[in-house]
Amino acid sequence: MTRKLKPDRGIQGLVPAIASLLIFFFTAIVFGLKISFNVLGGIMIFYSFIFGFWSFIKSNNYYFLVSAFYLLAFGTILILLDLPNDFSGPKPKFSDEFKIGLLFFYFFMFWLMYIGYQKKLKYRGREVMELAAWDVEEAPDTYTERPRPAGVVDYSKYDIIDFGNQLKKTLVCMPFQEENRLLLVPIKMGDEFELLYKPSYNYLEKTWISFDFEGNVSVHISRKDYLDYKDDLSFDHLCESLGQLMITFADFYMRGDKVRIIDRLNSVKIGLFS
Amino acid sequence: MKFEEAAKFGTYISKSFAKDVFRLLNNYRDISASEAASRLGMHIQTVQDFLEAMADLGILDKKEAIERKRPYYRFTLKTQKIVFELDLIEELRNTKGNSIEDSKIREKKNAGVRFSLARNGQYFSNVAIWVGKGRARSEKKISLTTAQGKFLYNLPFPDGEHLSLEEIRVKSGVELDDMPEIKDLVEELIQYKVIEAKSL
Repeated sequence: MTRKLKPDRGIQGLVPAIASLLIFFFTAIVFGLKISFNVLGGIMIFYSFIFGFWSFIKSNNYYFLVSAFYLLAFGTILILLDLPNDFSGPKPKFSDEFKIGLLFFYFFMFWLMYIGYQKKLKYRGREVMELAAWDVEEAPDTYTERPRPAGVVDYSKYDIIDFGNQLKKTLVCMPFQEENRLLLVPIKMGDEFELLYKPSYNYLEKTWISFDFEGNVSVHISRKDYLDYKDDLSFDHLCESLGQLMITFADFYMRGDKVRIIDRLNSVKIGLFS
Repeated sequence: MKFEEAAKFGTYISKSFAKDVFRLLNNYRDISASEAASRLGMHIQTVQDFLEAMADLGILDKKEAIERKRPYYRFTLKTQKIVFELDLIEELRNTKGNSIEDSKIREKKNAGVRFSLARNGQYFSNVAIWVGKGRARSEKKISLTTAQGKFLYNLPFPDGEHLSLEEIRVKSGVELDDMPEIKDLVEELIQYKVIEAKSL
């Protein structure tokens, strides 16, 4: 399959790691190595709350707890780490608390590597947009801001809400419930920070697929997402395709084949961090 | 009576001297503009315009007369009853003929228009269009009725297949009775280059 999206060169995901390393080196130079490890440990615990637990609260994806506990264990052992002042001296003895922390650290680290490999913590917006554009041809100057009706489904309000919750849990889309419809917003990796931490997140400006509770499906693609494609794709076809993709996902879910949604997304084969 | 004729008739009949002129016309077998003007103490051009307008509308008969080799017109009242009737349905029918109904439409490329969704998100509540050029450019906002909003929501995209008004009406679930207001909006948006039309 030829990629329709531009390559992801965003470094938003690396910013926390780079920031923590900069602080680590700065404190190491100013205050010494022991304090810098303790500071790094504090940062890891802070990250565990803002990136792990908070993501879990927002998404209901339990795998974020693994990430949170990994960071918590990592932070704890960095704080418990009692570095000798003289490295050429006798081998330091580690406390029992440190060894227990280390055990937890390895446990959660390997678990995290496993779920990371399985893309359980990956926001799937990029796959969604790639799949939608799969067979869409080029057609310049066709973008329009307005939403497009994309079909009708025959599901109850609660089926639609359940479907939205499932997509949220698997990080395919974030659901936003309104008075008489549910909007599903595909989130790409790197865009999750705005979703998680921006207080006035305006989902209506983003790309969304709406299921109203009478079954009407509409699609809106933001200009930013449209320009993320390498070519000017036929906008009408693209919207229709995105709508049909979500209707297919809804059908999978209602039939009890929710694993097929992930299979379909995995078929795109996009890297872990894009 | 045609709308434009009715407008002209209305303009003249509302003049303060209209009744006096008609009284003269009723009393005289025929009368010239200068005779009527002197009789009423008015400017000849004012009376001339009035009589010419009534003659154009077919209310007066106008005959050329010659006095000392100088031609002028004498006016005679043709009818003693004027029926002022306007068929609004016929007169205000959208556009010239039924051209819109015989066309297929879709959104124009790069229309530069902003559609605002209604609260329930299933139709538009207004459309904002940029009109004018340069510094005179301003935003024109058209508030939509529910039927118009639903219709526009289902308007084909710039690269979508052109659809007839009837096809879009059915798709958007708009009642047939609402079509006049839809046509009115479509014509307006064609003028503002938001919608493009293609003959069937």
